[in-house]
Amino acid sequence: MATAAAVHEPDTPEKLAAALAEASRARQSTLISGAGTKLEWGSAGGQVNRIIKTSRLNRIVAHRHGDLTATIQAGALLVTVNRQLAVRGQWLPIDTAFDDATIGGIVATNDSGPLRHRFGTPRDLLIGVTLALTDGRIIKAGGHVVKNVAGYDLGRMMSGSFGTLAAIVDATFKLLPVPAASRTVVAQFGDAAALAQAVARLTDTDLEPLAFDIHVIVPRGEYWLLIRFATSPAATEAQVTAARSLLSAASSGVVSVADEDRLWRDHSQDIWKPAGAVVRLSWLPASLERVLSVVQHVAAATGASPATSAIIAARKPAAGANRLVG
Amino acid sequence: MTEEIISEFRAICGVQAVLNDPVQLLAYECDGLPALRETPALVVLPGSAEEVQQVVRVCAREGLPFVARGHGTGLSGGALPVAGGVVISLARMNRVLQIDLPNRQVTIEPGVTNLEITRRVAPHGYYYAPDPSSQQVCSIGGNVAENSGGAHCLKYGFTVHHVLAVDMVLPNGDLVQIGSPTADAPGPDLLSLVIGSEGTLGIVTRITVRILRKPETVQTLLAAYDSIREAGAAVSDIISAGIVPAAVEMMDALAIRASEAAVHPNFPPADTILIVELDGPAAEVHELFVTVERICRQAGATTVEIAADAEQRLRIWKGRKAAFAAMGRVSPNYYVQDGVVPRTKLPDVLERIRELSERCGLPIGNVFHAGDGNLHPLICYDEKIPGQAQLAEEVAGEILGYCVEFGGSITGEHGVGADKKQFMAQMFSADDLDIMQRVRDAFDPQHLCNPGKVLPTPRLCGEVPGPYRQHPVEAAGLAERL
Repeated sequence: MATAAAVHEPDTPEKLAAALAEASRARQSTLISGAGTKLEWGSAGGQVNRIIKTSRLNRIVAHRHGDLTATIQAGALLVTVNRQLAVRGQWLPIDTAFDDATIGGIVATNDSGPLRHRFGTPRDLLIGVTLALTDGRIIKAGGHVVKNVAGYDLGRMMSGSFGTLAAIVDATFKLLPVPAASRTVVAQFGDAAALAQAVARLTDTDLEPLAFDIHVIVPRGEYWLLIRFATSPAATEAQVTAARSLLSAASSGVVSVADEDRLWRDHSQDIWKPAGAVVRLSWLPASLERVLSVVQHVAAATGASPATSAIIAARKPAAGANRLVG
Repeated sequence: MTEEIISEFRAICGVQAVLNDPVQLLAYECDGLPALRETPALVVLPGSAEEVQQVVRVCAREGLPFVARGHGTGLSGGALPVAGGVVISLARMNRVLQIDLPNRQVTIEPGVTNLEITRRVAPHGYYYAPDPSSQQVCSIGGNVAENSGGAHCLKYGFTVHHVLAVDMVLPNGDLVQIGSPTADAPGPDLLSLVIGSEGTLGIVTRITVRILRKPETVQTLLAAYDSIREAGAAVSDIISAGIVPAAVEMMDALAIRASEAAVHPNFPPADTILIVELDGPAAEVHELFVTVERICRQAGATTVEIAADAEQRLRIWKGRKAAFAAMGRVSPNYYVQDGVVPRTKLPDVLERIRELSERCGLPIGNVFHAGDGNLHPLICYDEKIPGQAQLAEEVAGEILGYCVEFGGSITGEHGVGADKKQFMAQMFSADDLDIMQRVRDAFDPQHLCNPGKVLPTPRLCGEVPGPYRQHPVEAAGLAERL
């Protein structure tokens, strides 16, 4: 990124669109940025003359709590949004490893965390967008209702577009009620095979976890399984008990309520702490053991990795595919 | 169309897979919206993606408009042929290509029916979640085109949430893969753009879907109310209690009466009935169902029936899913509308619809997915009475106006197709529509791929949108509307 890039921080959608149009007329290459937590994701791009930040477009435009929807400006922080939605017992069930991540940035990069096991990636919750185009126009697609097939789904197309198509002004999401109870089971295994077998065993049941991840630290030979259940209180306890009985061979434990949030946060953020490159792999769920052995092999061969973590975040329920960050 | 071109199609697909006999073409002149009809010059039935590519290349070279068609159950005229154009039927491409249980994926060709996927994996305890009422006969390719929903989308989402990847023949004949069987495919989410594009961006020839494990437990109740407001309050209270049911359906008195006449589900006589279904782990369903039942009673239910077994549950669903077709028992003709309002606005919009019904003199039955605000007003009329068909059409249009006014959508699951493109301008600005057109042009610069659908164009002379009319195949007693 050019160090001399001019920074714009528009405080209305119209100013955002005008800034894009002006940059376009002047043939100035422009970076659209939220909080900038993922600027090194993807290819670095070329010379940037201007940066347009969405930080001042940070309101919840509407929280239609009776309809379980909310329209949120691109620059709003996910954590702030969820604090406000919680007043009505609702949430936008998206998580990210970055505390400062904005709604617009999360959609544009299709960022996600362990919650995707149950709720999918941000595109799965997105029902409408307002976009600013480089010709200065502001357009919308989708709407405010959860079920809607009128016109092309330009909103979902923004996910993974990294700001190359348009600037997201605001996004409308389907929300969910915050579960009444939440418990996390943690189990440790001696090797990759035991871990993979446990994953397969738990997948092949009627359990419906909210999150279902693994955390592997290769140099230390640590193989962890993290499963979170969150629903009504009795049903949460019943699932915890059922999961633990399936894990009886390993040393499993239930995380205390006080430690639960920190555990998941550390799990997601640990990957980003060490210096070095982060590699994202996708594989089919049934290939887990093979993938782990490849990761071990690479770690042994290079000896460069102080810690290798892997996240399984299969999409609901335990299907779709996985993400490994190591 | 010249003999040379017809011969070329025959050489690609085989002599029997190219139809141009006027009698054979009759079956293709409309889809599930028989009010809109057009005779194509030719119907081709390719048997493989390669044949689809070759057919499309000929169309592109000759400037022939083409329309992809699944099993013709669409309700918005999305598969309406273009006069002088080619219909590409995917009916022969009906193979299940791969069932991958360890990874919970199934790969099929577009002509496979929705329910066939579930049939193939059910013995192993799995199912394919989107369940449009026509699922016994509708094709998965059509589901991709329409982003089909169903009764259970409140909890499980739509086709877009269950398709992982497609192979698609672009309007120039190139074959591309969009999406990926694994997560995090790089780049903009083109799969979301393709799903629900109503066959205007290309022809999907191979689809990989996610299958789900059958829920451990399902519980269903049917509550009767004296007013839509009471039933609506019950739904609001269920959602306020933090419960997301698998399905929440409502039917009004006229729809109940029709369904009783057709399939005898033994529904109670009531102003409104509410069907609530929970599914999931047994402990969760049992715990939450107690709350649901209490809320339904507190909201003023006159009766609450809890399905004791799978048989009772199926009977309730049969009554609900047969509601459209059942209208034929109480009215000579009917027009199925599909609109959406924010869920909390349902009682208001239904009151407006009742007022409209009284004002225009046409009975309107209501069947709707109350959890997501998707309403299906069924406007009854008699085409033998001069002017009634026209009136029904106007009434249907007015209801869409209410949906937009209340912040909703002109279609929740039936699509825009040829039927509703004129209403797009009520929901979207000229700029919004212009950008959609630019996206379309990027895929189809020649404007040959299902032209005249989705985006508004000046109305053609003599084009009559929408009311239900009996399909010739129905009239002959060869098929029944589901």
